[in-house]
Amino acid sequence: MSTFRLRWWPTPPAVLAYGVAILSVTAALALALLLEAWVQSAPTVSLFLCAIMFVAWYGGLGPSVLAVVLATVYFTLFMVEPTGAVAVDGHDVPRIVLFILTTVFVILLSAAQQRNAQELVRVNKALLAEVAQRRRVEAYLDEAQALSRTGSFGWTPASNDLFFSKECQRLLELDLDQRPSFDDILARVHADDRPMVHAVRERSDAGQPDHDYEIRWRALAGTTKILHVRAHRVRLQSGEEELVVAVMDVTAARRAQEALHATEVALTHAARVATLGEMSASIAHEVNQPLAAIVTNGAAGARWLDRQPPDLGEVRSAIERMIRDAQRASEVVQRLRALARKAPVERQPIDLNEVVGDSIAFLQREIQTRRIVLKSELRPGLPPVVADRIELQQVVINLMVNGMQAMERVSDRPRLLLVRTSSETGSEAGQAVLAVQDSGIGLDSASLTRLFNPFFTTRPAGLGLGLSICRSIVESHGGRIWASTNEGPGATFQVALPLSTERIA
Amino acid sequence: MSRVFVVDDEVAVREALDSLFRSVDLKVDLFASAAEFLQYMRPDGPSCLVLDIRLPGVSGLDFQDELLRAGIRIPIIFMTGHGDIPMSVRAMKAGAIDFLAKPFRDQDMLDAVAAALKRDQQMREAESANRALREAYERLTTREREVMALVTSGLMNKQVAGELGLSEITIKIHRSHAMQKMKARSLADLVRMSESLGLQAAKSRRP
Repeated sequence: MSTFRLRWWPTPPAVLAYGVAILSVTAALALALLLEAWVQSAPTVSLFLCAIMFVAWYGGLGPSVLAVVLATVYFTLFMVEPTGAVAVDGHDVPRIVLFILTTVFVILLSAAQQRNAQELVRVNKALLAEVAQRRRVEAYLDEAQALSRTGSFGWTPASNDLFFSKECQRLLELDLDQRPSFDDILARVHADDRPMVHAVRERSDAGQPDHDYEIRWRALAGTTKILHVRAHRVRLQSGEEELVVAVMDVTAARRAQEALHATEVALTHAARVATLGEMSASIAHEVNQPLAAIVTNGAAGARWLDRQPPDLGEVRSAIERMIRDAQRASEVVQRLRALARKAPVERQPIDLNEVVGDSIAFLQREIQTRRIVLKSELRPGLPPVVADRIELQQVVINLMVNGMQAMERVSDRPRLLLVRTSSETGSEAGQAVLAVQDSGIGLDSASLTRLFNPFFTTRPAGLGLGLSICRSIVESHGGRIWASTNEGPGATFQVALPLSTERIA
Repeated sequence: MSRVFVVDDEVAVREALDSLFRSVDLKVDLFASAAEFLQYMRPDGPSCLVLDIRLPGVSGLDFQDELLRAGIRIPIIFMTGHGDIPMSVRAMKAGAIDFLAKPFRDQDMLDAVAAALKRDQQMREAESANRALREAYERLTTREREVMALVTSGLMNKQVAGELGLSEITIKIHRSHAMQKMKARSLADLVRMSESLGLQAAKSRRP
């Protein structure tokens, strides 16, 4: 670090300064007298002024005033006739006064110069302190950016100026020597994400101040990074607009999220298949019934044909029934396959009532076998919800099967299962609510709080995953699931899902 | 005319069976539930019941018990979605004609129905013979019944007379009246009738 120095020595002590003042002026006098003696002409005034300037520069105001006084005395004594006396001739007065004025002027000039110099030193010191502070802040910022894997850059659209933070440079793997332009940056964005960046830029140009999006970035190693970008438009004091952009490397987080999601999907699917397994008997029955009807219709048709004369009307209706029954069997198989399928989750506006209807159809046999009295109160004209049909059906089936299982040991009252849909007003406005109410053994308060935890079950054979999977499905749809005990016997499970703003496609 | 009653909650199965039975000139009545069947006034005549073992509300087996308790004797052919041995054993013990797993061969079903109708026919004939016998017996006088009971228990006329404190000739007259009224061609005939009616000789009132 370099410091501007006014002098290359420290301020001298006062005694030394005054001593130097006396010595300097006396030395100037001696030199003047010597020159006078040798060459009969001496620059006396100049010599004195030199001495005074030196004292002012070296010792400051006090010593220089002393030097002036001393020089005036010497001047009067030795340079003005009669020499050796303080007495002065009238015509010499202007000379002496001019001399005094000159010296005073020199002192004032020197003092002003020194004040300026001191001010300069002070300002310089402050500037250096600020630079140090800024460097520290910058170092902190670099550290913090590296730690949080967040880089930042500024972009002035008008001048197309780009400034990158160190971390940003590292994150984006940029070579700043090449002075990358906006288009160079854009070229590194994954081709599929470029239209999005353009769209963001358009919105920004249209005046939207904040942006938050994710892009895929081509790393130099040929891999792809996932970057979370947040941008904010600021107006600088100069009136220029600048976009301040923070870039976070969320690749690891996204990969973990994807892995978690894949696990969740697999678990959800496994639970669905397990549910199907539990209901395999009723499912087999569901398929077997139409098959039995088809076989019998075929046999009957053949017998009508064999009659003399053949009754073709009966044959035709037997064939028509066979077609109808085969279609029904195929529908059952399709419903099954849909539930067993490992399909990617697909959200779209769907009719909750329709999903409930499908679930009831699917469980029809189970409902009969378990001697359940099913009541459904489906609110007509329910606005659609945004959901994955299969996952939502899984939730409905799961809640209904749970309700039926809760009534397994009930024999002193009807096994009533009520399925109700509604769209809420008030605090739950903008949501569709599904309620599944049973008249079973109910829930104690301890169970109520742990009900949706994984591996919590009240059934000896239960895995305890059904409700926890229901919860993760519902929550992934931005909804809420909860249970409550009824005033009478049994419990009620409810699911609230946000309504779609679109109509069903 | 023989009649088949079909009770199955599945409309497709009901319709298919309806067509099959009609193709062999059987009369068919279809019911979606046991309750529907019970409400129906069955016309008289040989009939049988084709019953799904899984029914909504009440199971086919429970329904079989219910019919037995109500004294409704009708041969039953069970149908089941899947072969269930304990169920079939129980059904057969309770007197079911057959137990068919869906989907079944049409001939198996028709054979079972034919067997059931034959069984019902026999039961009906036995029942009507028994009824005629009982009506005839109702027409006997008290004395004639006493005589019939004692004679068919193996006593000689003289012993009967001694037992009842009557003359042998009087016993002969009562006996001949009883045989005429019962339309018995021989004493052996009368003994068989007495067995059918479940008569037991009154124990001697005098030791």
